[in-house]
Amino acid sequence: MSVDDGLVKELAEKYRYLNYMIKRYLEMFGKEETVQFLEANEQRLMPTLRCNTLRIDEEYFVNLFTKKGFILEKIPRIAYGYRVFKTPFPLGATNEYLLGFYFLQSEASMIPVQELNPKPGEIIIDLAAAPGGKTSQIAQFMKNRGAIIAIDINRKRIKSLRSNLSRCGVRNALIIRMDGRQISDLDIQADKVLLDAPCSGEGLINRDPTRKTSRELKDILYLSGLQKSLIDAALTCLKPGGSLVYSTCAIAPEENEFVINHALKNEGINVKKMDFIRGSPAFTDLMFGETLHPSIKEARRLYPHKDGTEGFFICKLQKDN
Amino acid sequence: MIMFRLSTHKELKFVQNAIDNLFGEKIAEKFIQNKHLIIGEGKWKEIFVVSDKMITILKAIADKKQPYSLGMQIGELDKNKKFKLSLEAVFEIVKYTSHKIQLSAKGAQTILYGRNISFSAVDKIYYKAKKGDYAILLDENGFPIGLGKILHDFAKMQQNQFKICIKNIIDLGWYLRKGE
Repeated sequence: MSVDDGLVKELAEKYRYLNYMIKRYLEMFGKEETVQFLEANEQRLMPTLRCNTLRIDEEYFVNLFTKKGFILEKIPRIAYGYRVFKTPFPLGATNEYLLGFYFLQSEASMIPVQELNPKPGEIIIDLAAAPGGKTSQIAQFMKNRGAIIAIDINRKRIKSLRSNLSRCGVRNALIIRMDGRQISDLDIQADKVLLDAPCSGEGLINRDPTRKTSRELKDILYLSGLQKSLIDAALTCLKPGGSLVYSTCAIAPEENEFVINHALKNEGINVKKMDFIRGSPAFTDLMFGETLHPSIKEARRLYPHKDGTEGFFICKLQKDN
Repeated sequence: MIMFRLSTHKELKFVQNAIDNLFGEKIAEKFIQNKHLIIGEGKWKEIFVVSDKMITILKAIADKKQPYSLGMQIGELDKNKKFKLSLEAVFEIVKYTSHKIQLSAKGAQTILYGRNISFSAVDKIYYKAKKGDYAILLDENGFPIGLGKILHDFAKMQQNQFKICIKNIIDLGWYLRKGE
């Protein structure tokens, strides 16, 4: 698809993005939707939190927080998720935060674990676990029973992972500092795997505007290679019949659909329809030179201009029995 | 590098006695029962409580990779072999012990800033506190926020209204000051 270079330049200047990003948005969304997307990226998202029932009864927490002057609203169809309309104190410095009663977690980022649906007693691998929002959410679903193998490579981030799991009362996690691409060395077969992959963070521009100019296309292609290696590794340690949820806060198809397309080349791996029905179907047309598998339409994309969330991608895969 | 292994019987008894001496008889047993004690041995010893399932995984991976952490870290043995209780253990022990002191809202904030406590910040003492005791400090809603060392007998505290009567040992403010 050809795009108007003048329009690319105009939008890039107006919204202060790199030209290549605008060009790609126009190719993916067309003009009207690109402008809506760019406008939405200028708006701050409402803070959201996940009530941590490992530490507190949900109803008690809501009452306690309401008495303190916070205004909470339950997020439909997201377990334990709340939007915070009024915050009399910074959410990251309340006694309740220190007590682990909640985790500051974005609305979209609560969905992958909900789709993974971890059960008490299972073995779950969280392949890029720091800083621990989703790991603690997994433990919450598991009621601290079973085991989570939480992997991260970054020395600084793994300290924060440990601290957050401790704060949230997670008792069933085994934290390992290693490169997730080497996970098969451990010879562990998991019931389920979460791969919330390291990504360009292009979906988080409304939180971090520096992302408008901080990454080149070559960075996205590098990350895409890393994500493909990680998903290959993740699939090797998945039990037959087990499921894997892949997610990113990226917009680029190279970090999302292309990675799933790559994973589907492994024998016995299929895209599974998710329970979560919000968002837009993932791309399945020819995109940036790659033909995509039609089943990828079951994956979901969330956008700030359509869903009021950060840009997000979620796909559930299942290994044949 | 920290190496993880099952505790010896002697180490298990040492930890149990340390906790029981601070918080009352058989307190440790209540939250360690049906679980295993794991020692992470590096420059000092860290002590973890883990489930059967985690032991199975630990054994399966032990010759390939040592974990960074696992289960619930309940404390450390420092160089002088003194047992230091963790914040995670405080959350378990509070369910079973009477060694608790409730603070006012202002007192709770003081503790969370890592400071010591005066008698005026104490709302309720749940037992007959003696000098040298360790007690779990509760906020105004009754939630555990730290561990303190009692500096005076309860009776003397009431009479003298000491400026400082509880020394802050650990508190949840650690998660903001050092944890992240």
